[in-house]
Amino acid sequence: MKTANILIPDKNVIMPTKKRYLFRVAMKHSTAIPKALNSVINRIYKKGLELSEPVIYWQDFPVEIENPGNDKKTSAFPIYLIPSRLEGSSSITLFASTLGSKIDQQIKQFIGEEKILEATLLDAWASESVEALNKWFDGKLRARSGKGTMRFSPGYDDLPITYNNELMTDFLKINAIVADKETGILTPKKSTICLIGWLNERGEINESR
Amino acid sequence: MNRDKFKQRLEQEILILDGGYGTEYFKMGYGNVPGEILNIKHPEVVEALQRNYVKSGADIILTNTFNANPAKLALLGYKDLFEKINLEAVKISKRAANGKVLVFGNISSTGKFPQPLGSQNFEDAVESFRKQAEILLEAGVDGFIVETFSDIKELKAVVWGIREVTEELPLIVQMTFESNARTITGTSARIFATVFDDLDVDVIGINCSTGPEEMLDVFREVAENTSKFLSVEPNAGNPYYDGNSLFYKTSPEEFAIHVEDFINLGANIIGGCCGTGPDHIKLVHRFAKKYKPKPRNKTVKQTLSSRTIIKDVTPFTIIGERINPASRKKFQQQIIDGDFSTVLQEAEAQKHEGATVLDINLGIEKMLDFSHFQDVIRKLDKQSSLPLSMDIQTNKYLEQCLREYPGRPLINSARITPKSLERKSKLLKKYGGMLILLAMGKQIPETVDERVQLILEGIKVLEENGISRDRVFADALVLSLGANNDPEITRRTIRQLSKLGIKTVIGLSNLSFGLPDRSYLNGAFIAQCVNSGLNAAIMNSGDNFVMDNLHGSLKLKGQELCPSSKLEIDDPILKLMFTGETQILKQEIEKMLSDHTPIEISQNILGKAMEKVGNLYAKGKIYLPQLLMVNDTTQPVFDYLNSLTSESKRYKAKVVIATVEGDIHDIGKKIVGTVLKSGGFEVIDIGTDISAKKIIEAVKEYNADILGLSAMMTTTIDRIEEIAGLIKKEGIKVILVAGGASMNENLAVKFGCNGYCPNAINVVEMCEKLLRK
Repeated sequence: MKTANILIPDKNVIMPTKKRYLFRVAMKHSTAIPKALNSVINRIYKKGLELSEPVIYWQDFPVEIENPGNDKKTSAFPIYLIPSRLEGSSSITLFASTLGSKIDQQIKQFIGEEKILEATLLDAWASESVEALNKWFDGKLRARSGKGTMRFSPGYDDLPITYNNELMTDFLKINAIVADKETGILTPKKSTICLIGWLNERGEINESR
Repeated sequence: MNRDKFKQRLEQEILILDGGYGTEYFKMGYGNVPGEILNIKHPEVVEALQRNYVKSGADIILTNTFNANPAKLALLGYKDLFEKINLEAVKISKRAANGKVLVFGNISSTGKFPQPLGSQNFEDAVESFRKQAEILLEAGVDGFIVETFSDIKELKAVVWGIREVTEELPLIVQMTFESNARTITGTSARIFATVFDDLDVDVIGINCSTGPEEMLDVFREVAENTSKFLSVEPNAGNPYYDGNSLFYKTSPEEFAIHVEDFINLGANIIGGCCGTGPDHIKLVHRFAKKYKPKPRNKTVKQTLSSRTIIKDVTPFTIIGERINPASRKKFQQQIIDGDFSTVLQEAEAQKHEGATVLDINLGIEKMLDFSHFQDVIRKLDKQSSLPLSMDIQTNKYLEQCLREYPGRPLINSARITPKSLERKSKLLKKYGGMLILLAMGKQIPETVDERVQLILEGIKVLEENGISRDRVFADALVLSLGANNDPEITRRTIRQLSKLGIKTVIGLSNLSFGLPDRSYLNGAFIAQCVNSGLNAAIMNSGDNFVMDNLHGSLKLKGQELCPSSKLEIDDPILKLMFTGETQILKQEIEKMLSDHTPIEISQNILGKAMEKVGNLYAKGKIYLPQLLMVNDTTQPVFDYLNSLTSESKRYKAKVVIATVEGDIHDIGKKIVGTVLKSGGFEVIDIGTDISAKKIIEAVKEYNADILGLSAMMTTTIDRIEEIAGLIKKEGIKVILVAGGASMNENLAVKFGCNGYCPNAINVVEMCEKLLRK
């Protein structure tokens, strides 16, 4: 089985809107934000951008047709790993996205220094940033392959998060993102695993912006 | 493009302007050619850049005509190409726009401030801008943008110039502010916004000088003080030059972080200035286009302002009445003779007494001409006077004053007759400001109801002409008690108008005209009137009894006037220096000559006083106009003292200042020179566009202790390195200090300078420190 394709995007694709970033910390982006606080909000945004090392690891798989099980040698994507919302797909794109480990370290450092506001903001920013990254790549995939299913991450509906480890180890085969066998928690923390199902043939991913 | 359509579009979407030009040309390898000359020599370069901006998502691109006004082109040696450069610029932009985006004609400063801060005649400035606008209009621009202005009077000149050519096209006006929300000439963002809120422009904005983070507060200040649409074009931070290439620190990503902040504050148009390029605009587009323009509270608090001072008209406006030569023959003669010393003294005195506005009445206007009115406005402007109430009867003189006035004035006054209202409406619409509306037509109504009714009729006419009632003070008319008039009618008129939400004013002193104990009568009456809702009075702010009654009455209503930022000056010589009257200062100095030698006076009295002025400027207690005025006032007296002695004045050090070759910017250097002079340095200004060779020669000739170099343009800063190299090579002992918009501390160190001067404020301190080393 092939190892995953790697895509390193420009940093600007991971920039969330301020609206979403602040929504994550239950705050409305409005004129009422005091100057000093807005300054921290912007500083953390900038810090997040500086520290992020966004990468997408991705691979297309045909969906296993017979003998449901986990015959990984066939390169097919097993039925049991396909959530019901993606049922009927003839192929699956599996991808993992990450901002890298520097963000985690910085959040940890902020907490160690009792800079809870900064830590909270950076955590929120990074979560939205990963989502911006996923959305961007999602757009690329759909531009290539058409409508597809919704983008789905383990931990929702009927695909337990504990499958993360299997998806990373057996399918994407990368070690830059590690999924804990017991909990499925990813390291670096600001990482996600996503699946999109397709009914049609796939074309090429245009890697340019 | 039709203005209404443009405004409709701004209601619906956020528009994107293009980014920087000069810095992009530099990146493209054309930094050694004046930007506007590229329109003729390399039009393909301009077009390629503009096409990139269109591709990046700009909705409006600007013609490459930022410096293409006659004055700037003359300085660059391309005066004859004025028309061609502007015409070609529009052609290039239209090709790049290809009908998909709007093309706005870009106009900027002539580089010379209009009088009184600079040497340029105001009407010449208007004419220069008019000519440029005419060419751009005929070539087919969709609108105009005027940007990077730091003198509010010059900005008014460009608006008059453009509006003489067309009233049909949209107009965006932008000033450039330091991070303290003041222009280098001392105008605050609030003054700018409130002044232009009245004028015939469509969008008010800010650009250049600082990056987006520093610009947020300034932008907020503008947004809160205008009902107009808003635009913003920050720099990509400060420029850096690594010896090979020039770059700006703020990346497109960092720049884009602030886009939503500006939108939140109400921005309708966002673009970039120096250091921004197509990548910045691409991200601005991506973030801005996610949003619709944010609805704003567009009620603007009424204010009156001069260039540097702004006053809320509520809760009370004290209009100082003493610039009025009625019954003061000597004062009237002075005015006729063009001697405004008493005017300036009265202005300063009333400011200290707590007046908030100064009424200007020059007396018998038949004895005067345009120059009197022009001079008084300019002199008061230079003195950083309080806002003015123009009590000028002759329409042409009133218009002249309004045209030259940099702030938001009060027009005193209009009768309620069709002719008077029509005239004053026109002036208010064109020049802005507020109006005192007299409760009288051809005659004064006798009853309260008649006066109130008449005021309402007058306000209706004004509103039909586009002047809101907020901009009106109704004068309830105080008549002399000595002629058996009943002040109760005035008081009750005030009460009724106040209940109707109409601001009121009175000419208080009329009450006691010809009577004894005027203070008691005036004091008692103002207390009654304040209690009835009075908002303003033309009065003698020097009458402590009346002023105390006024403040007491306001306090009983739970109101208080904001304490004026009084400049406490005890030194009598310093006080005279601030009046702007060289002759009076000289007379006082002459008296001192019996006890002191000229050099003692020069060194220990005037010199020390100038140092105090420099400190006041450094601390932000006074603004540039005052600093320049004090310098202009004092310099001839220094010269006079020097002429009396063979002994030369002792200076702290000798400073040669110059703007480097290829750079014609003068103002910043002159300001630094003035501040240094005020700090006790001898300053030799050898001019602009000076070659390295000539600068070195001057340093040797004058045996300078310090060499101050200015480079405003990104294309000329390497000249400083060249000069630093020559100083080192020839082993000249001189302290080299560099400044200018394109310089920064790292660069100064890299070039081998001993000091970097980011602005004029701390230059004295820095030079003193360097001399001690």
